This record gives sequence, structure tokens and C-alpha cells, in this order.
Amino acid sequence: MYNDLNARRQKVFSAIVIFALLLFGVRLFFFQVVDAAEINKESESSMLVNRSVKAVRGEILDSAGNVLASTVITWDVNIDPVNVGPVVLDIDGQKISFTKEQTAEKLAGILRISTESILEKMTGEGRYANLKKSVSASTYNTIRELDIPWVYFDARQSRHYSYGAVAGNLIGFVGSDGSALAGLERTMNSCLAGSDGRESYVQGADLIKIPSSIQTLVPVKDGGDVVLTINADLQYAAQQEMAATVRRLKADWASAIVIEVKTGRILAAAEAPSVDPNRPGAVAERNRHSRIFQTAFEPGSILKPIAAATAVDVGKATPTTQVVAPDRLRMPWGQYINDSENHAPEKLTLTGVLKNSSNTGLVQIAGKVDSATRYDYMRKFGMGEKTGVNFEGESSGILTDYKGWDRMTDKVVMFGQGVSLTPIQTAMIYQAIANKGVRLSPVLVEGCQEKNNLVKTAVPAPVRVISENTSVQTMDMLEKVVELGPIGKTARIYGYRVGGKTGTAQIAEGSGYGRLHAVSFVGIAPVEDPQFVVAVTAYKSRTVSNSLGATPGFVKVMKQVLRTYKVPPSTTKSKKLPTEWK
Amino acid sequence: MSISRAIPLVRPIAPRRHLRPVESLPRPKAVRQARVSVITQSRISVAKRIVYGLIAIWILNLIVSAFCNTAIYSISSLKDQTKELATKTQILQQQVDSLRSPQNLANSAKSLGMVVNANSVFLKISTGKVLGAAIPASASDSGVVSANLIANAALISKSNPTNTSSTKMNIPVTEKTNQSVKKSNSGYTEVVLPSSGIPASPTH
Repeated sequence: MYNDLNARRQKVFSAIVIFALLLFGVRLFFFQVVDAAEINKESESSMLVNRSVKAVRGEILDSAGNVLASTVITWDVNIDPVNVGPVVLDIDGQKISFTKEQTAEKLAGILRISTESILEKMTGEGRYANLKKSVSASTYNTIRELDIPWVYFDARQSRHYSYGAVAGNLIGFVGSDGSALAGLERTMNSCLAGSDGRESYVQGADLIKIPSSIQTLVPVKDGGDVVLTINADLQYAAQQEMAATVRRLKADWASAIVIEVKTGRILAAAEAPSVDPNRPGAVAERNRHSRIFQTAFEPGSILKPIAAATAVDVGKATPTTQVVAPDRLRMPWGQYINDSENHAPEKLTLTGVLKNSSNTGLVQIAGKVDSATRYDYMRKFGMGEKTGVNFEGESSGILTDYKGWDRMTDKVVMFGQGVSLTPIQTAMIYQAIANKGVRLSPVLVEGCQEKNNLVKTAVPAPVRVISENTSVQTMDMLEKVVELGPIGKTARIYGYRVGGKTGTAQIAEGSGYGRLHAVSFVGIAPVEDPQFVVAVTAYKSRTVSNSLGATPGFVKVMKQVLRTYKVPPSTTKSKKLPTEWK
Repeated sequence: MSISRAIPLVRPIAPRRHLRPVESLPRPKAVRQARVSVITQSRISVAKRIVYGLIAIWILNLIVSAFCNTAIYSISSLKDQTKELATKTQILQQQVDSLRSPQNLANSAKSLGMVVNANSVFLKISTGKVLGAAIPASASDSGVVSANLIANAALISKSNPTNTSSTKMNIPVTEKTNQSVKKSNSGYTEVVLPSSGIPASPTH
């Protein structure tokens, strides 16, 4: 009887257990099979992190590999106002209590901002207030070591320009959000920027990233490096000289360009005032761009060698062609062309015309060439079109079609009026003369380097402008300018054969010309084997109104170039060419 | 019933013999129990092995999981260290960049009264001919290095050429230096090469 009862109880108990197991089984089935996807999704959403991986912006390097622009990590310093309160700080191993106000004062000292502004941000109900953006690594470390519990940091990528304003006008700068705003930073953005990636990973409760869970959704591609043709040391020396020139002449600005004759590579493109890309806001907006590529103005007498070379190339003149050059030449229609100074009529050769920079003499000789031909040569010398250097906002200068020239413009274009050129266009005209008559495109960017693979910048084809013979004859004439010219003599460099041309251009203001001038000197050395062109311009010089303002800068920069590239002194002498006749 | 009925008159034909499977003979109860016991023991053994296996797998899983967790935290810690070191590297790199910047070098050269010699002289090896005039540099030839005029907000460290301690180079100086060379008191760092030769440049 007892056994029966026990057996029945066992059966009931078994039934209950089996029923319960069945219930669990069914529920488990729902968890594991029916609702599995939804549960998984819910679970993953709380642990899975899906985030963008920022590409590292590439560097900008000079020709020797010196880093002019790089990407560094900077930190935004933030506070959590709700939790702001007194803290105990470890100062030199001693635990010291700081009130809220004292902490604010300490932070203000490190961040170099006012204590009041910090205190103001501390009083709030929010969880975020930014004290300062993009602080350096050392500042970040100093604050982090204080271990203030309500201070936290957000890391971000920033640009760092270790050479400061050296080549600053070329390099340009980026905005606080990392967007390229000016210069090569902007022009070469496609090389520098790279492309952001995307990854997902599972994060533990304590925000630890589970390594095995990392999945790359979109691979990140870091930016490439831009390699320049610029020599940073030479650039610095040229900028120093231009800064001194601006001071000496009280000029608006000054520029110096160094071109390698046989390659067209720009070794230096110096400007003053210059912009420090670390702090572009520190200079006026007008000084943040590159005038060398973007500012065109009437070049003046610096253009005379074009007219002379054209006349020689078409066979209308030689370096010894004779002319009588008065200080004032009456045109058939009644207007006058003047020389810069009053003088008695001079019996000059074409070489002498360039040496004395005589407008009247040049107009008589080069005027034998018809307008269409002269215009054609000016185009071939690169006037009226961009150089092909591919610098953002480059100006093409102004060269109107000869058919639109009036009678006076037809004459004055020969000595650099009625047209406008950028400093780089002027420098490349002399490059063509020095390079046996072949004009090259200036090269500023050697290429884009990705993983040690340099993709060279495409360069437009060379242009034959004048014959090699004309080139040599023009060089001989330019050498006489430096050897014998009243101002040209100040551009001599001991031990080297130098050729060049002075330029004192009036500056257009309104419908006429202003009182101040753009003074220039463009020189080539060594003449027997031309290797470098140096073009110096000072705009609106206030203390010296002719090229005497530019030649000292030219001499210093050219000397630095010859020293840098170890060019030995000349061993030959200049050709004997008469500059006058009787 | 007589015996004759019991014995058939015609001798029956003997059944044809053929092979047939051996039928299991009924076993005695003891044998059957023994058999069941063996099977049960065998099954228990398999079950035990499975259970042990599962336990072993579970323990292994625990161990691997523990190692993984430790490794994850180690990785995380190492990553933090990497970040810290990267920050320190960045600070040092920026100091180096500052010190080697042309602005700093120009100021240092200026403070030392250095002059630029614009008159380079070249020796032509093939002929032995000297090109150029060896004229000493002079301050009057406007060769004095001008102070820096180019802005650089990234200049966080500056050289102090007159401070010997800040310019001391980290090159081992042996006691056995050439005593015949008069020691300079100008504040410049004296560099003595180790006997093993010229040390490799630490820069790249």
C-alpha cells in the first residue's frame, strides 16, 4: 500500500519535472532559434562599436627630405562642469589640496588663458565645456599628470610646420577642422589627404577593445607625401634676404626666385612678408598667399631682353646693331617715348641699349620687327598664359592680342609696359634665354610619394623660343649689362661671370602711374655654363627708386646659390662686345 | 498403445543435412546478469569519459578564456603605453625640430658672432688647380650672419650656445685624450672620438 503511494508520487513528480523541462526546452528553442537574430542584434548593439578610422595626412618635404609639414596629435582640453570640485593634486610628490578656483588658476597658467574664462566654464550644468583646442603634447602631458578627475581630453590630428614661415607662402595651411585652405596643402590635397577607413569591434564593459573582434569594413588609406623641389636652407636664406630688403627699402613686399636653368626646378621661391602656417592669422590676409605665382604687374625694363632677342632671332639686329638713342623720341603721331633720365643723344649698339636700358634705342631697333612677330615671340616666352607649375590661383598675367594694341602700346610693350607678368613668368623668360633658347615649365612639386614610390608630376613639353645662337648672343649682351651697366655693375659677383637685367617699373594706379616703382633684377650665372636664374623684385620701394634696391638682394641670394651647389668660379672671360659706336 | 505403433514400420528417410546458424542457446541467469553488468560498466565508462572530456573541455575553455582576458588587458595596457611613448616621442621630435630649424641655427650663429665666407675656393683634383681667391671672411663684408627674421611659432626650444651644459654631446670622452691639444675655454664642447672610431650618426 505504502509502495503504491510512493510510486504514484514519484510519477507525479517526474511528470512535473518533465513538464518543467519541456517548458524550459520550448523557451530555449525560442531564445536559440526563433528570436536568436533579434537577441544577437540587441546584444551586439550594446557592445559593438562601429567607427571611422581617420587617415593620416601626408607630409610635405623639401628636396633633401626635410619635413616642412607633418601631422601630429594635439588635444582638446575639456572639463565636465557637473563634477567640477576641489581636488588633491600631486605636485612634486606632495599631495596638495586645491580649491576649484586654485585649480582654475593652475590650468590657466598651463593653457595660457584667463582664469576668469575657465571659472566661467566651470559653472554649468552640462557635461562638456572646452577650455582650449589643439594643445601640444607637452601641455597635454603636463595637465594629464595633474590627474584632475573632471578634466578629459579629445585627441585630434593637427598640422605642424617645424620650419615655420620658411616656404610658408608656398605650403599654405589647413583650417582648424583639417580642411586644406591655401597653397600646396590645397593644390596637392588629393595626394596628401588619403581616405578614411571604417572598422567595427566588440567592446567590453570596461571599454576594452576585444582584439579578435576587430573587423575592417573599409581599409584606411593614409595620405602620400608631397616632395618639393625647394631647398629649405636656400629658401630660408632667400627669405631672410627678402625680409631685410623689405625693411631696407620700406617696400610693400619683395620676392626672390631661384630656378635651375637646365631642369626648370624652383629651388627657392622666397617672399617677404611671409606667413607662418602654424599661425596664419598672425599676418594680414594679403600676405597669406604666394605673390610669386598669383600677383601680376607691369615688369618694366626687365622685359627688354625679349625684344632684343626677338630682333636678333628674326635677323633684324645683332648685338652690334647701331642706333642713336636720344632721351626723348618723338613718334610719328606726335607722342613721345622717354628714357628714365635726361641725356644727350647716345650712339649705342643693341648691347649698349640693354646696358643703359634705353627705351628710345630699343624701340628703334626692336621696332623693326612687326607687331605680329613680336607678339608671337612674347607668347612663346610664356607671357599671357600660366606657367604650368599648377599652383592654385596662379595668374596668367596680361598680354592682349597685338591686333588690339594701339600705336603707343605697340611700342611700350617692348620695354615692359602695357603687359603684366608674375615674378615666376619673368624668371622663366630668363630660364629660356639661359637654356639655349628652350623654355621649360617651372617645377615646384617633384611628385607624390606613396610607400617610397614617387609618382612624378607631369610637366608640359619644352618650348623652343629662340635659336641656340640667339640665346648665346643674348647672354653675351646680358653679361655686358652686369659688367658695364651703371646699375648692373652692382650685381657683379667676384670670380663669376654673371649676366642680368635691371628693371624699374612704374606701377599702374587708376588710369595712370603712381609715384612708387617695382624694382627688379634678374640674373644668370655662370654665363659660360648657365645653371641658375635668380629673380629679385621689391614692390613699391620707398627709399630707392631704381634697381639699386634689388641688386644687393640678388648678389646675396646668387652667392648663396653658388655656394650651396658648389659652383666653381669662372675660368673664362666675357666676349668683347662694343656698347657704343663712333 | 503397443510398442509396434510406437515404432514406424517404414524407416523414415533421414532429413537432409544442411548448415544453419547456430542458435543462441538459452543462457543461464547468472551468465545473463554478468553480461548485463559488463555492458553497464562499459556504458558507464563511456559516459564517464564523455563527462570527463566535457569537464576537461570546460576547464580548457576557462583557462583559454582566462589567458585571452589577460592578453586583452595586456594588449590594452601595451597600447596605452604605446600612446604614451608616442606622445613623448612627439614632444622630443618637436624639440629636435625646433633646435634644427634654420631660425634657431641663425640665432645661435649670430650669438656666436659667426660670419659667412662668401668666397668659396675650389680645388680641381684633376689638375690640382685652385679656383677662386681664398679671402678670409670678415664682418665688414656684410658677412655677419643676420639674426633670424622669419617667424616660427613652432620654435619651442632654443639653443643656448654659451651654456656648455646644454650643448654637451653624449659621446663618451675617454681620459686618454691628446694632452698636447690645448683645451679651449671658449665654452665650446670638446668632442673626443672613442678609440673604436667615429660613432655612427644617430639621425636618419
